[in-house]
This record gives sequence, structure tokens and C-alpha cells, in this order.
Amino acid sequence: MTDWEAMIDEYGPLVVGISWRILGHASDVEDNVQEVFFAAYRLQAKQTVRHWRGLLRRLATLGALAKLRRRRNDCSLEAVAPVDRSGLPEEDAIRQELEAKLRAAIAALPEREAASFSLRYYEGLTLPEIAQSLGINYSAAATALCRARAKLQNHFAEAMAEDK
Amino acid sequence: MANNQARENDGHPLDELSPGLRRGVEAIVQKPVPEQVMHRALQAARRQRLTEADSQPRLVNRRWLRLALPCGLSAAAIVVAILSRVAPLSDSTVPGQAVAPSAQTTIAPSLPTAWACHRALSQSPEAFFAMLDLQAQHMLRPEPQSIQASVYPHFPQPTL
Repeated sequence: MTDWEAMIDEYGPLVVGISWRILGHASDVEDNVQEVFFAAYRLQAKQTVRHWRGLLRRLATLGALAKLRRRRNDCSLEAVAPVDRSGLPEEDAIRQELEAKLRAAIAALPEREAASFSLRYYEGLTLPEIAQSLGINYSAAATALCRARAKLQNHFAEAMAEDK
Repeated sequence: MANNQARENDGHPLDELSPGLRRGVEAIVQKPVPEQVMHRALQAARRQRLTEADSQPRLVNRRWLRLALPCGLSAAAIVVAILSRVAPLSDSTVPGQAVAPSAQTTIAPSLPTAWACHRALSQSPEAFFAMLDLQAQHMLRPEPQSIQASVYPHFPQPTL
């Protein structure tokens, strides 16, 4: 029988971190973390799980990306993380704007491309690790990553040109 | 593609990105998870686990229920069969009220039946004494004539 308290203690910060970087929204992060562990619990009841870290990373990434797509524009004040007061207000505004743009652009990508991009640049995984996490082969992971990077670079290049 | 793959295997991942995209990723990656968000999310996951733990005994109870239900029904059927043998079911329409034996099925008046005594006592002590008087009168009467009973009328009729 799986010790779920120990599982949450060991892998909870990983799941919360992945959810936070993709979503950036406190209540969505909370929901996603619950759903990830519940999904893992249900999977574990049906089959033996050998690699918990990979499974939870995959569930957290795909779940967060799905939530990102579904999220509405309305958000309450309590859901927004406190503003970093250490930097200048202008830098805060620029940083938050870049975050919002990147999240919106990632939400527009296909699932595999968005997941590959998030795992590579948010979590620092290598291509073999990305392929293993998503359950796809190496070439599929590489192709998805290249496409995601190209689309997002074009999107940000256009955005920066518009700002100028 | 090969150059890109070589870049992906060496150096920092963010080196693979254009400056604009890199700024966006850095804005997200360098921002740590707020402690309050981490704490609330982990607490929510732990609370949910309690719900799942509660659901496991229910699953075990369901298995026992599947065994207990047919056993209980079988036991109830056995008890009903035993009771029906001990006390034949009456065809009374009123529950709890026994049907009085009809005049055609009058039992030999040597002794009052337990049912007759019970019924008389349930009505009143006077009814009970009246029943005893009636029994006594029956006992004083001459013996009834033998009853001829035959299923086959063409054959010699036995005498009871």
C-alpha cells in the first residue's frame, strides 16, 4: 500500500512548482495539485507505478496546460501572488506582462508542443527525459520542441516589434 | 535540426532561445513559488488523501456487504421456513388476528385448544369461562355418529 503522506511530502513541491510555473495562479495551482495526486492514486490502483517522479511530472504538466487553456480572464485578488516589491515597479510590470504573454502563447500551442517546451525550459529536462515523461519517442519529442520554440520565437519577435 | 540537437545537449537550455523569448521564460523561471501557495496546495492534497483513505474502508465494506446480503437472506428464509413449520400461517386478512375455526371443522371437544384458550383470554375472563362451560356441555353430549368419508363412491365405504 502506497504511503501517500510520504508521497506528498516527497513529490508535492515538484508538482506545485510545475503547476505554478505553467499557471501562475494560486487557486489553479491548488486545484491542479489535488487532481494530479488523485489521478496518480487512481492509476496506482489499476497498475504498478515504477517511476513516480516521471508520472507526477507528466500529470502535473499536462493537467496544468489543460487548465491554462480553459482558464477565463477573470481572477480574484486572493488568487494573484503578492507582487515582488524588491524590484522597481516598472520592472515588475514588464515581468508580469512577459509572463502573461508567454502563458497565453503556450496555451495556444498543441498539447505535445506546449508540454515539450515547458519540460525543457521550465524544468530543464533533456530530450530523452522529455520523451520518457510524455511517453513518446525521441524524434517526436525533438520535433515538438523545435516547433514550439519556432512558434514562440516568432510570436515574441512580433510582439517586440509591435512594442517598438 | 542536428545543430539544434547539439545545442540542446550542451549548455544551458535557455541558450537555445531568442532574446525576447528568453526574457519571458526567465521571468517565469526566476520567480519562486510563494510560500503561501506551496503550503495551501500541499495541505489541500493532504486533505484530499484523507478522503481517499476514508473511501478505502467503504470499498472493503462493500465486499463484505456482497457476502453478508445473500447470507442474511438465506438465514431469513431458513427462519421463516422453521417458523412456518412450528406455527402454520393463518389465512387471516387482519395481521395479528387468528381466524376462528369454522363450524365445519370443529375439533373434537375433549379439550379446548391452546388457541381457543388464548383467544378467549384475550377477549375477557368471562369469555374464557364461557368457553369452558361450552366445552363442558360438549363433553356431556352423546358421542357423534361416525362420519362416512370416501373418496371413491363406488367402492365400499370405510367407517371412521
